[in-house]
Amino acid sequence: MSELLQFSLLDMTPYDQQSWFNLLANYHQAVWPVQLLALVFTLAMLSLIFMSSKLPPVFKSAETHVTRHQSVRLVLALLGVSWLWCGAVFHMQHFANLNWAAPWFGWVFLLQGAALLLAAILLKNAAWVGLSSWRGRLAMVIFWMGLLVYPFSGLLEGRAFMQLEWFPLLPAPVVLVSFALMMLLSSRWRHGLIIIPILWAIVSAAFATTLGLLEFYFMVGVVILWLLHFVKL
Amino acid sequence: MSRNTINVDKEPSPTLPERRQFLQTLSLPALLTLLPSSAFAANNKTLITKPIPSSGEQLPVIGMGTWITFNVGADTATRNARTEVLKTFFDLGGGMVDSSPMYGSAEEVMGYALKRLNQSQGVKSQKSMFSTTKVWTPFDGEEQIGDSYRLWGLDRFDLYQIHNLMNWQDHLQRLQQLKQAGKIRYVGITTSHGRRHADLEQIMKTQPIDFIQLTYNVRYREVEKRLLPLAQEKGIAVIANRPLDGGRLFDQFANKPLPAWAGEIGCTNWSQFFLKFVVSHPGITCAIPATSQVAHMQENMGAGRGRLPDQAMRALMLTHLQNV
Repeated sequence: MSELLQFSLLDMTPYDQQSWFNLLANYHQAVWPVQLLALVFTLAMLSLIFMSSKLPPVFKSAETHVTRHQSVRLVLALLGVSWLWCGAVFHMQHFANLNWAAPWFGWVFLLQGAALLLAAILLKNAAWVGLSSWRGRLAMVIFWMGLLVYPFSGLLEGRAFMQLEWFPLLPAPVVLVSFALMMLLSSRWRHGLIIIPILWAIVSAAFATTLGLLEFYFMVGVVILWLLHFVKL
Repeated sequence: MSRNTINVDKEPSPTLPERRQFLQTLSLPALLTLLPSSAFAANNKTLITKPIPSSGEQLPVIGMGTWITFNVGADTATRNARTEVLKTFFDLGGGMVDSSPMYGSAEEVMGYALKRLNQSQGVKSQKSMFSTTKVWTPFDGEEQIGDSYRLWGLDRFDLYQIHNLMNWQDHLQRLQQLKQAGKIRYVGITTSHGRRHADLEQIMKTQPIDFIQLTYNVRYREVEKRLLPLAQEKGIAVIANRPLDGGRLFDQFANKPLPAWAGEIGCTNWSQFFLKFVVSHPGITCAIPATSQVAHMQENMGAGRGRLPDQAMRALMLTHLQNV
């Protein structure tokens, strides 16, 4: 292990920007039609977030048995599945073709996915902060950044549509959405659940620097916004 | 009439078999050494080779690296583009092709390119290849080594190196066994970016290795102090990695004009200028620049022809770079 620690960031980036873009295109081709499922997945998550903000803490009716707590837990579970997918499928099966360190990244993503699933199971009183609060608004900015702004920013880098990175299929948007949801979560668990996303944002920003990607600004920006949300206005 | 002429005239003409034998002894390299130095003037396009000290085998001084450039994954169009780069390398007399399991899909892409060249051109395309890869794992290397043979599609590697000294004691033992079994012709050990030079020096002093690989370029010359003289003393061939400093040299100099005297050593571009500096060091056997472009490969390979700068010219080159 001590020998592995001697490797620099450059050693862990044995590919260039074009190869990264090509990998994304091939990945999208290989997993099709999972993108359709991903869209349903994302819409479900959006519905649950916005629905839960309108539900009373314990809402039960003949039509639905969903409570606010349950919807939050469901969102955490979906986020956990996103991390598991990125770890097991993207990192281990696809990114590993370009980067020898990808399987290690995959294990980290699996760990985060498992932690989120555990949180979904154990957090009986999970809740979001109000979407109209300062924290809630900041979280929503990051949320839309992960869902739309970041993916489309790839066009500025000259990527083809097939080379864009979408939630929940690729690490960067999943990390951005994770920041948003941890900011929304009112439980103290969020402080533990944000550790890996912060670490990944730092690693990811470093990779982005070597490849000259805009991802760098998103990752640095989201960490700054995370720190900013502690400021009470 | 001179005495010599008389002597020659008096000597009996060799019979036909004797004449053939005489001509056979005059191999091309031997004949080249008889040529005057002017024969290697700037417009001379003779392929420059250097001997591997442990065997005397000649190796073209410009090889080819695959770091980043051949790690292109499964994308077929890009793989085919890299195949063209490799073809250009062979067409221009290239020898050493270097890769590693650390370079992602580079070995797999190399195997793809070699297979494609064989299908289109026959085995001739590989004739000059000096295949070089590495073992790079903190664990037992057997599986990884087996994978490399499979990925390249080869039965034998010309050179097998231990990448960045990782787990070198165990791997060196295995590689020596493979060498004895004829699966490897030469054994080496590598480092890069100036790491672990003290360890490398110790290995060079105590272990029976044929090659080392290290970082050397106009900007990074620390190895001139100890490692290169030691390699010469021990008879170890040296491969220079990052001879263009990972392309950073171009960032600094590409928009500057070449000095007029660069033509004296056959340099028509900065790439050739930097590469000729590297391979003209007496301790360096071969440099392995990497590129993804056919045009750049052509430029690089131009550095392996003509004449190399002498000591005075090397000093001039450095002075010029410092003043630009």
